[in-house]
Amino acid sequence: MPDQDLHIIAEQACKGERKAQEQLYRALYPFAMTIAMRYAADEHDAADILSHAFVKLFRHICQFDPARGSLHAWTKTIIIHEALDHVRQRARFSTMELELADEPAGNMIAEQMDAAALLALIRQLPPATHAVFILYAVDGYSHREIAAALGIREGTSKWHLSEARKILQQKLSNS
Amino acid sequence: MNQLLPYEQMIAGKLEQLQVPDLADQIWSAIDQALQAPPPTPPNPLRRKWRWGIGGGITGLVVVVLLLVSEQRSRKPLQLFHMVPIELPSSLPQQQQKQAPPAPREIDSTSMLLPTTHTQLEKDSVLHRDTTSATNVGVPGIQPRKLPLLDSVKAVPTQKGVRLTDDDYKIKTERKPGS
Repeated sequence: MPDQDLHIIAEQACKGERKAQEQLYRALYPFAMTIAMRYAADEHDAADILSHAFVKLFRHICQFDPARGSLHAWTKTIIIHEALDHVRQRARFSTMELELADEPAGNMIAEQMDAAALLALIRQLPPATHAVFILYAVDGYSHREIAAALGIREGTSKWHLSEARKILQQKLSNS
Repeated sequence: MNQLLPYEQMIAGKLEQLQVPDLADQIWSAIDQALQAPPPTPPNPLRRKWRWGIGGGITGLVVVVLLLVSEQRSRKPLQLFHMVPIELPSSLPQQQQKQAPPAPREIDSTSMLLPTTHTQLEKDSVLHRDTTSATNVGVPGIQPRKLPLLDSVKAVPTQKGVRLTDDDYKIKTERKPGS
């Protein structure tokens, strides 16, 4: 669905029209669920994240300004923040700030794995390390942004990324 | 550390192609139910300020009361009545300025000697005020003063009967002027 149509539906949703809200939700569902799945421990966790995120989205839909960004970007931000709230509930972010050297890459095994298998591998990481890895490697956040979003230090974010890389290397080489 | 590794870029690309589960209806029913409920009211900052204000006020009042109490304890006791000496005016009549007469003193006629010092009591004696049995212990330099024997009831000599004189025994013969 084009962005202009989404904006029109968003305006109707702002007026409290339930039909428009449902239409907007169904239009954004695949995009939103893909994001939620990356941070969630499983499908049920992803559904929980998504339901909470969309309730917040509809309660603040009138604050959405198309001039400041797309509806997809706004939705993504809301979902990631909701996902991080879930991660904080089940994860403890250690305060270790070890500056480890980058692990050598070049593992061609990952190339042969499908998305579901890779996601299953990432979900084996500790929750905090999992969240930092997705934020950094998939959603493109910097360590500074991750530190601000999670309320941790930059060094802690770097340590979690290093841990994720080390564990994933081991798992990919074992698989 | 700050650069994406090749396999990470590959993972990011593959996760974009992830098949999403068909939970759209289930999730929408949860969203619909949550939207029908009234939104949670955020904590009112004004009410919070009021709470802080009331709490601070009560605390301040308690501190002031404690300070006052401690200060009162360190001071002298409160004088509720201010005592002012009254000067009698000199223009009062002399009768009013006269001192009150002393109370009548009862004199014990039976005791000859007044105890000038404390009386020494015998052991196991019952303490009682018996002026008749008072004994002078004697203090050097102080002589017991002898008082005249006085009776509180002054006996006034009364004349009993009729005093007879010699003339009373004389027979008086007086004739009547007619006999």
